[in-house]
Parts: sequence; C-alpha cells; structure tokens
Amino acid sequence: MMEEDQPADEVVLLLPEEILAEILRRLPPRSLAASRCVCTDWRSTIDSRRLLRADLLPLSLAGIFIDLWGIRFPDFSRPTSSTSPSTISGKLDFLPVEKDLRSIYAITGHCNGLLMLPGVVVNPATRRWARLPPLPRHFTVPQGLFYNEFIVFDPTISPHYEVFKIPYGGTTDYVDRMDRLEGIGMATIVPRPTCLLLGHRPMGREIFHQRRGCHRNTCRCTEAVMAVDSTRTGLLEGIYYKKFKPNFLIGKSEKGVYLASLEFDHNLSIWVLNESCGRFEWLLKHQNNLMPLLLRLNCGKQARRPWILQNVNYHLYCQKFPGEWNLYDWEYDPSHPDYQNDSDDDDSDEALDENNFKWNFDDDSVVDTQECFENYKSGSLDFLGFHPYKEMYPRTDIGITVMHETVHHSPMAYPHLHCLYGGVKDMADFYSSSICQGQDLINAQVVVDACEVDDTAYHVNMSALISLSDRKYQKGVYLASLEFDQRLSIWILNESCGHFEWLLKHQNNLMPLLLRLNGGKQARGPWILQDVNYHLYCQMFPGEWNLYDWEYDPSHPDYQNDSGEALDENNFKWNSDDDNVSLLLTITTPLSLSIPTPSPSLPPLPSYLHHGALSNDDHDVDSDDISDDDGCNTLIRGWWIRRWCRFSNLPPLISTTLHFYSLLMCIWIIMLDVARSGDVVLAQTVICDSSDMSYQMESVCFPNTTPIMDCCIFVIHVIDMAILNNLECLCGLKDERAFFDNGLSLQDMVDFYFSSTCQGQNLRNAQIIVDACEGRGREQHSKMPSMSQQMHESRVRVEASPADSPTPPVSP
Amino acid sequence: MASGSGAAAAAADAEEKESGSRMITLTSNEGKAFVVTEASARQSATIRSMVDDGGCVDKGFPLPNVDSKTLARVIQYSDEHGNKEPHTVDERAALAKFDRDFIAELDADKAFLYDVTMAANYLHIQGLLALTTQCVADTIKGKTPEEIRTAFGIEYDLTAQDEKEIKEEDTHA
Repeated sequence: MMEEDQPADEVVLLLPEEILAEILRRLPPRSLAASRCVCTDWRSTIDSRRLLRADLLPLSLAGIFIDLWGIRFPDFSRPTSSTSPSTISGKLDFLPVEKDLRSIYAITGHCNGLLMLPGVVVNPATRRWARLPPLPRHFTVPQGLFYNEFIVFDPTISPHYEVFKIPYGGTTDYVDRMDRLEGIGMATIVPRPTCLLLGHRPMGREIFHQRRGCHRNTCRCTEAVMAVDSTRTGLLEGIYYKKFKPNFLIGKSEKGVYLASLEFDHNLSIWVLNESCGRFEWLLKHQNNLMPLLLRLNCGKQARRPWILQNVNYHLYCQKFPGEWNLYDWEYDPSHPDYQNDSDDDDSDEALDENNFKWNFDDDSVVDTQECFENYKSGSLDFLGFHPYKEMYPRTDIGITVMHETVHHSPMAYPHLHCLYGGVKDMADFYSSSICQGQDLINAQVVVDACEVDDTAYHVNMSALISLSDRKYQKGVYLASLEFDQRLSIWILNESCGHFEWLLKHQNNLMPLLLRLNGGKQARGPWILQDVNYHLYCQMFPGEWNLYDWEYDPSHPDYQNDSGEALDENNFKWNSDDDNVSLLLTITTPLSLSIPTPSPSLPPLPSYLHHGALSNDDHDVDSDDISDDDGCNTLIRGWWIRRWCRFSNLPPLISTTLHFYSLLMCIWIIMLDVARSGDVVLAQTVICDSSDMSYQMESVCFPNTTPIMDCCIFVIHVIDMAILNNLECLCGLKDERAFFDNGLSLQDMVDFYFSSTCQGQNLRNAQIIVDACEGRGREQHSKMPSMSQQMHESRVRVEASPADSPTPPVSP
Repeated sequence: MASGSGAAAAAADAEEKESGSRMITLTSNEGKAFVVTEASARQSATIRSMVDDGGCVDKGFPLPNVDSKTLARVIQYSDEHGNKEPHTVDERAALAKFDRDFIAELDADKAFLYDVTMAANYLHIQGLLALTTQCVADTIKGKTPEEIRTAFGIEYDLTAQDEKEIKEEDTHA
C-alpha cells in the first residue's frame, strides 16, 4: 500500500494510530515518556490509550518500614500529611511464612516499593506476594558461605523484578560463585548483566563484590546491585580503602548512581557515577563534615513533620496478652494517673498512638530535601538511604541527607534520629527498614519517631549485659541477658569446689515494659551533660557553623536558643525524682562526660579517663600471654588491647548456631574470663568469623584496683558493626570447654555499643534493667550489681548505683 | 449440486482442513497470485476467519491492501511458522533464529519494514506484528525526543501549552 520510494521519514507518520500504539505499547515507561514529547500525534496516541501509567512509576515516597529485630512485624511509618490511603501496613500476616523462623517477617531488602522477605517478594500496597523459586539443584552452598538477597525492580525499565543472591563470606573469590536467580516467570531487568558491583556492608572489609562477566560495559544500577565497567572497580575500591573503610552506601537517585561515604571523622562525601562515552567515573558532588551538625542535633532539635506509626506490634501484643500487663509490668499502678491512658483498652490505644507517635512540627521546607538518613550511634553514623528519585540539598543543592540518631536530649532516653541530609534506603545495620513507594514523601520526623521505638526495643532486645557485683556484697558474678523476645534473665555465678556454674536467679519479660516505655515515660534523675564536645568544637571552629550547618539561620527563632548555657540547661537536664543511680559515666570517643548533679560521693575520675584517646585500632599482639603488668599498661595507654589467637576447635554447638543465623556475617563470641590474678581481671572475647570458621580470641584487661572499678567487670558483647549480628555469649571461667558445654550461658546478644550512644540512652537502658530486676526479683537477689562497667572498642562506660538504696519500683 | 454431494464435499473439506494440506491462493493488489498451504494462511486471523466461515476458498483471497513484494515477505514468515510445528528445542531455536534473521533483514529497510507491519496488521498475523512493532520500538528505545524526531523525520509540532505541561511533569518526575 505504501510506495517504496516514499521518504522514510514520513513513513511513521503515515502509520495508522493503532499500529503506532502497538509500537509504543512495547516501550518501557521511560522511553514512552520521551515519545510523548515527540509530536502531537504520538502524544495524543499515548494519552488517549493511557499507555504511560504514571501512577505505577516511583514518583513518591509513602513512608518507611521499620523492621525491628525480635518483633514480629515490621512497622510502617508514614507522614500524617500523606494523602495516600493507609492500606499499607507492616502487618504482613497474609504471608504464609513458617512459624518457627525467627526472622520470619524480617525485611531483607526492598526496591521501589517491593519488599523482600526471606524467600518471598511482597508488594505491601497490593498485598500480593510471590515465592522465590528454589536455587538450582546443581548449586550448593559452600560451607561458611551465606547469601544476601537483593531485589531489583525498576518500573520505569520493566514491570518485572529480579532477585540476586549474592554469596558472601569473607573473601572476594566467592564472587565468582555468584548466581543469579530470577523471580517467578520474570524477565530480566538488567539487559546486559555482566559485572555486578555490589556494595554491601555486611562484609566489613570486603566492600565490593564484582562479578566478572562477559561484557565489559554495563549500565544498570538499582537499589542494591550496580553494574559497572569492570575496569573501573579499582577506582571504586581505591576510594574506600583509602578512606579507612568508611561507612558507605551505593544507591540510585535522581541522576543515577550515587555513592555516599562517611568516614570516622564524620566527613560525608557523596559521589555520583558519571557515565559518558562508555567510561565510568565517580564525580564528587558533595563533601561535608557532619560533626557540628551532630553536636547541635544533640541539643534537642526536633523533626518537622508529623508521622504516624502504625505500631502493629503494640496492638498485637495487647490483644495477645490482655491480662499480662500486671504480671509483667512492675511499675504498673492502675490508680496512678499516668497509667490511666496506658491501659490496653482499644480506646486508649488510639490515644496513645496519637500522643506519642505523632510529631508536631512547624516547618515543611526541610522535608523535601531530606533524602538520606543516618544513624548516629556512639559516634558512628549510618546511612539510611538515598531518596529514590530526588537529589536535593538544603544549602548545597546536591543531595543526600544523612539522618542520624542522637541520644541524650530527649526526655525519654531514646535515641533520636535526625535528618541531616537526604535519601532513603535501609538502615541495614540495626534493622532493615524499607521504604515503600506509591504515595507521599518521607519525613525525617518519622524516622525519629520510628527510631525511638525502634531503638529501645533494639537495645534491650538484643543486648546482653554481663556484670559482676562489687566487693561490698560479695554475691559474685552476675550475668544478665536479654533475648530477642525481651526476656530478661539473670544468673549468678556459683563458685564451689573449684566448679563454676550459672544459677538462674531471675527471669522476666520486658516486652510490656518496653512497649509502655515507648509511650513516653521519662527518665528519673536530673542529669547535666557537660557536652564537652559541643563547646570544644565551638571553640575550635568558631566561624564554621554557618559553613557546615546549612540549616543555620541566626534570625530564625529556633536558633536563638541553640547555643550556650541555655541550651544545655534545657536539653540535658533530666527531670526526675530520685537518684537511684549515683554515678553514671559515659565516655565516648572524644570524651564526653555526664555527671549527675546530686551525686553525694563522686569518686575522682581515674586519671586515664582523662586521656580520652581510646584506641580504635586493633592491636595485634603476638604474644599469647599477657602479663598483669602488660594488661595494666595497655589499659592505661589505650584502655584495652586485643589479642588475637586461633581457637580452632570449638565444639559443634557454635557451628550450629553459625548456620542457623545465616544472615550474620560474623559472629563474635565473647568469653568472659575472670581471672583474678593480681590486679588484673582478664576478660576474653572470642571472635568467631563465620567466613572461615575460625575463631579468634580477644582479650581485655582491666585493673581492678581503681576506685571506680573495684572488681567489677563486665563485658558486653560485640558485634560486627555492619549488621545486627547475633552474639553468642559464652560466659565462663578459665576452662572454655566448660562454658561451651553449659547451655545456660548461651545467649543471643547484639551490639550494645553501636546502638547506645551517650549518657541518656545508656542511662535509660541501664535504669530499665535495674528497675526490672529489682522490682521483680528483689527477694532473690536484693542487690543488683551496684557497679558495672561496660567496655567496648572505643568506649567505656561505667555505671554505679548506690548499693545501699535498692531502687524502689518507681512511681512516676 | 445435490445436497448429498454437498455434504460429502463439506466432510472432505473438514478432513482437508484438519490435515492442513489444502492450498489457498492469495492475490496481491498487483494481481499476482500466491499459493500457500492452509496452515500457512491460517497464521492470519483475517484469512482464518474467512476460511472458517466457509468462504470462497477455491477462488482465493484478493488482498487489495498488500503489494506483491510485501506479500511475498509475509508469506515467507507465515510459511515458516505455519507449516512447521516446532517440537524439539533445536527446532524452536531454529525458528527463533529465523525470526531474528527475518527482522534483521527488514530492519535494514525501514520503509519495507513498515509495509510489512501494515500488512501484518491488516492480516492480523500476531506473531509477525509483534516482531515488527518490537523492532520499531527498539529503535525508539533509549532515545531522547529529539533523537526520535531525527530518526523518524518527524516535525516538531508541539504547542507551547504542551511544552509547559511537559516541563511541569518533568519537575515531578
């Protein structure tokens, strides 16, 4: 019908609309959007046939999923201003999961609105899900190797998603075994899958994985998977290794692939991947130091927009254990006005959520620019993520926002998340939270909110505390542990006839208390934080506040109070009615002290506390034996020393747990060894690296003659900073074998340090535990350890409570 | 014709239809006749419905919208897909290879590609239509609007109103 000699350029115009539509229908959304700008005919064709489903594209952010470890469902948090229907819920009970898996509803990944749970991909908006097919039969999992699953989904490219299973385990040669697994009946989303660069943190030192494929150039990157020219990897690794393995994040945002890294000195750098002429290059977009901002955030600024936390778990718990509140909640006093609102009837649930999980803020302007969040914990920051489609900085017009979590300014002792920069992703380290897209925008405040809840749960949830009583009571060594289900157990070490064993003294469940504490109760003792760092920093960089703080506006009323005395007074005093805890000292890396005002007999600080230079390095000491003097010296110099040695023949118990917690990349096992030889109490930590199944032992020495730490030790567990690792705590003395055989001492633990920053939070947690123990178990062991000490890599925390005044159950 | 022989002829027709051995004549707009097997012709939904309706199979089907060159090429496709039923993996691979070569050849001559597309659309040959439209779509894919206009020689005729709308949408996306 058409003349062959017709000019080619007019041919398409002559195609009937139905054929044109047939052609356009086969285009991905991105090309369709481009085609819409070609000419009026094309535009009307696309519009009239609704080919471009803009509603399916990731153009908005609905909220954040908060996934708490140890709690059944993830929670979904969304801004109150969101016009979106609240159909999205963290209550994923429509999934047919197996009941006995602990991580059953744990979100392991997400991408553009799809959630990835173990073995299942879920669209929370439609509540539809699909199970992943099993691994190919020929594919066996090598010993000591685990998989990270990454979901890749970009509706602008393809309506199909893809799941990558990336093995990890410690060395890069696992990369070659990487296998790709497609979703059920799903087409490939990566057109030229070749070398995949993966930034995943769990590796710790192995920052990137690369698959050497057949193609040289690839171009795609999505949430977790990035394909890059393999020849450029050297550059990538260069960046990271050079920077002392900072926290980093690779993600996709407005202009493509972004990379954000955060170094130990709180320098944030953001790169964007530039692809031109087949070459890939990281361009530095932004660099800044977050320290001033962090310090200021500690001063108690608030987030800006109300968010709603669905708090699925709370309601669930109320339904499930309606009668148990009195049982578990030792502070429960129905007659007290504070509790009138806390009871579990349905009416008050609503009120509770309204009161506690909505935030009232006055300024929306920052909201849109906040794109990435970060946790600030104990001086360590973490990225939450990039905003999926926006790149905006408040002052710098680049953008990623860092959210961070600070601790000590809230009346509740919960950490606060503050949004410094922008972005969205997963807070992979402590909980995986996922962002669900489809509606509105995320707010920093929510995360604050969420994190508060989150973190309490998290701390208590996953931390274990081992403490020894001081000499005064001679009760001996106590061990307190908290398990994933918030069960608190307290053991006492019984030493008889040269035999050591742990006796269970107390057991309780803190869950109700935790849930109630999220409702906004307050800490109890007036405390003043000296806030050394803040003032120090102000002195050091008097002129740089404006530079670094892109929100700084001296004329704004919000900032009038932000400096000087008033600030400290307002934010770091704690209002409470008694001084159960007479001393609490927390020393973070640079040195920040919190000293309680009413402390009647504050012992002088040991001199080494003033040398805040706590070494974060791993000192490898070759000699296997540490003499007492060595220990002391090391302690004074740098507070602690690590000693690594091989520990190759651990009993099977451990390897089992290793396999069970397959998500963990590295499990640290702590062994507490109390060797009262001379002046040194020796604590040993066994570090187990799951990748090569070898175990390393770490030793920590304390002198036990200092005024504060009379004899007490106390080691808390440790974990990899990248993931929430479980910690198997094997406590025992001298003979390691005895410990491993002792089932009682095996506890799940998780990082306490990285989640607990400064005074407020630590104090709070400690307080809770003390309360709990004393309230419930006073008869059994009337004296809780009055002095305890926590130690960790770069931090030392000392707490003491007056032993002669056992904490009464507090009436608020 | 007696009704008995008519019934017998119908039965024979049905038999032939099943065997697919019956030959059908297609005539291009230039009057050139192409004789194809029924299985091949049934690739076209248009012809299939006419055959099933008991249309004039013997007289052949005039196709006034298709020229000879295009029709020859379309028949090449439908012969390949209609006469062979791929059973083994190898056969399926061979068919896929045929499709690739077929479309690669067409892709070199855009005008002819559009002719074939139109013919496939007219004859309702779904497989061929998918093949050709996908080929055109691949050309569009990854291009900016300007590049698309250049590739297809389309004149820019969007109004200022359109541009404004596009700009607004872009800021959102």
